[in-house]
Order: sequence, then C-alpha cells, then structure tokens
Amino acid sequence: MHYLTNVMDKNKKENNPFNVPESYFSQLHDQIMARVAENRLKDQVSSDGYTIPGGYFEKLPQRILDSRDHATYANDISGEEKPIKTLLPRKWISYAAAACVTIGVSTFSLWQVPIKSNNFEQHVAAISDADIINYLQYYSDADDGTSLAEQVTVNPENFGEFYSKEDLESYLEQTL
Amino acid sequence: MEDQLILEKFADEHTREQAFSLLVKKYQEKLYWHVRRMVIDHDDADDLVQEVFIKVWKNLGNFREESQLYTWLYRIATNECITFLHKKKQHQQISLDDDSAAYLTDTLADSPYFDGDQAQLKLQQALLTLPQKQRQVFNMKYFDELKYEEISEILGTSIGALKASYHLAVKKIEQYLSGHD
Repeated sequence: MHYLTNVMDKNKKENNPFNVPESYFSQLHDQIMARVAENRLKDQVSSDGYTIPGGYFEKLPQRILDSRDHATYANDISGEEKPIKTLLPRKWISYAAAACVTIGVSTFSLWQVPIKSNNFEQHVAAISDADIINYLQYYSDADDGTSLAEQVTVNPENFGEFYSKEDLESYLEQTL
Repeated sequence: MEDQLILEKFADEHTREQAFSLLVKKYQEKLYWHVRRMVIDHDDADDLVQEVFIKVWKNLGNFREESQLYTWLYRIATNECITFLHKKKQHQQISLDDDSAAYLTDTLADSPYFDGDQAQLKLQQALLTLPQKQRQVFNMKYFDELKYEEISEILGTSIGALKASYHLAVKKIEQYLSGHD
C-alpha cells in the first residue's frame, strides 16, 4: 500500500499537465498579503468622503449641453470674423513698411541738412559785421584763436595787403 | 441603454442630440467622481467634467470601437486631469520632479464639499503622498472597482504593472495610516 502511494505521488508530479507563470509562487505571498491589507483598509474606510452641492447631477446634463452650444457658437463666430491668414503676406507687408519708413526718414534727413545750412547762412548774413565782432569779443576764448587760425586762408606774409600796421598793433595790444 | 445603441443613435444626425444627452446622463456621475478624486476640488471637477463631455461631443464621431466606450471616456477624463494638474503644478511653481500631489493638501483641507470622517480624511491625505499614477490606479481599483483589464485599457499599462502599482499603493497607505494615528 505504501509502495502504491509513493508511485502515485511520483506519477502525479511527473505527469502534472498544469503549469504556472514564471516566479508565480514567489509573488503569490505578496499578492495575498496586499489583498488582506486592502480588505482591512476597506473595513476602516469604504468611501472617499467627498460631497457635491444638492441637485448637482440633475442640473449637470443641461449645463454640459449649454457649454457645448456655447463652445460651438464661439467656434462659429471666430471662424467668421477671424479668417486664417498665411504668414507670408504678413511678413512681406512688414518688410515693405519698414523699407518705406527708412526711405522716408533718409529723404527727409537729406532735405533737412541743406535747408538748415541755408537757414544758418541766411541768419548770419542778416547780422551786421559790428554785431559779430562785438559778440566774438565778449564770448570767444583762447581756444577760438586756434580754431580761427586753422580757418585762415590768407598767407601771413601777405597780411600787410589786408591790415595796416596800426590795426595789427591795436589787435596785439588788446589780445596779449 | 446599451452603449452600442447610443453610438448608433449618435451616428444618425437626427438622433445625435438625443444620443449625446443619454450618454451624458449615463456616464456623468462615474466620470465626475473619477475626475473629482484626482483634482479634489468640486469646482475644478465641475469645469473638467464639462470639458470632457465637450471633447466627447466633438470626437465621438471618430470613435472606432476598438475599445469599450466607457474606457474611452475614462481615458479622455484621465488625460484632462493630468493636463489640469500639470498646469496647476506649474502655476504653483512646484518642481515637476515631485510626482506626489502634496500640493493638493490645502485644496482638500479648504474644500467645502468634503464631509469625510477622520479615517476618510487620513486616507485622502495618504493618497496625496503617492505618485500620480499610483493614485490613479488606486482610485480606479479601490473606489471605482474597475477590473485590471479595464484600467489597463484606460491607462495603457500592462496588467502586471498595474497589480504591482496597486499593491505598492496599499502598502504605502497602510504605512501612512499606522504612522499617523
């Protein structure tokens, strides 16, 4: 009898047609323990405790339909009033506008410079020589002499042709 | 009403409106609670659930019936929640590396629509310490009582990974509760 039992046991193990996934038994313990923990937790806390305003779900379907209609309407309106524009013309327009502004500013500046210069010369022409001399006597400083000397085109050797000896002596007395 | 019948009615232009209304009535509560448990605040959940249904209205015509309708709805709702929580995190200048929802603890504490007892409050606080995906899996399994196969379809994660995630979540929650008696 004992022999027969042993043979049957051996046969059972060798001919067992069933199999389990790899490392099933090593994970089974953890899974059972997790299920036990889950049940224990559910005994303590079975629901989440969140609430909602009264009649919320009765009103929600209509609010969803209203939101949908509003969203659809907004899409329609935006579709009518804001046609899709490609970027290329926009860029082209901005470049053209920048070029126009640059040309305008340049042309204006070019015209402005001679006009200003002419205006200055006209103003100076209207002032008498005596006024200019008086102004320079009061407001000129030592550096102006250097600047003026650089502007002088008359050869110093020929001073005598333009200025008398008295004028030169009088000038030297005043400035030195 | 069966989902298949709703889809058939939606495909017909004359009965589309009625089909959508039926769909909203059938799934509004399930989706609301799914969203609510993720974002905690009622007003946020209210906005999001409306957004979800507007997306459903716009896209149901393209639904290919490769998955079940309600798993498709849950997937849209889940994605909306993830996007919302991501924005909220950025707004509160919280590092995106921090995967927990601890920044929602104040929202839970301030919510006028939380009427839970001490045990329920602790469970929610424990849930907010979990990584986002673990929290999702736990909520869907524990409260919504969805099967792993269904959760797998919604989240696009293998059943094995979901089981591991859920068991880990339960373990962490137990530890949290025993440490905060």
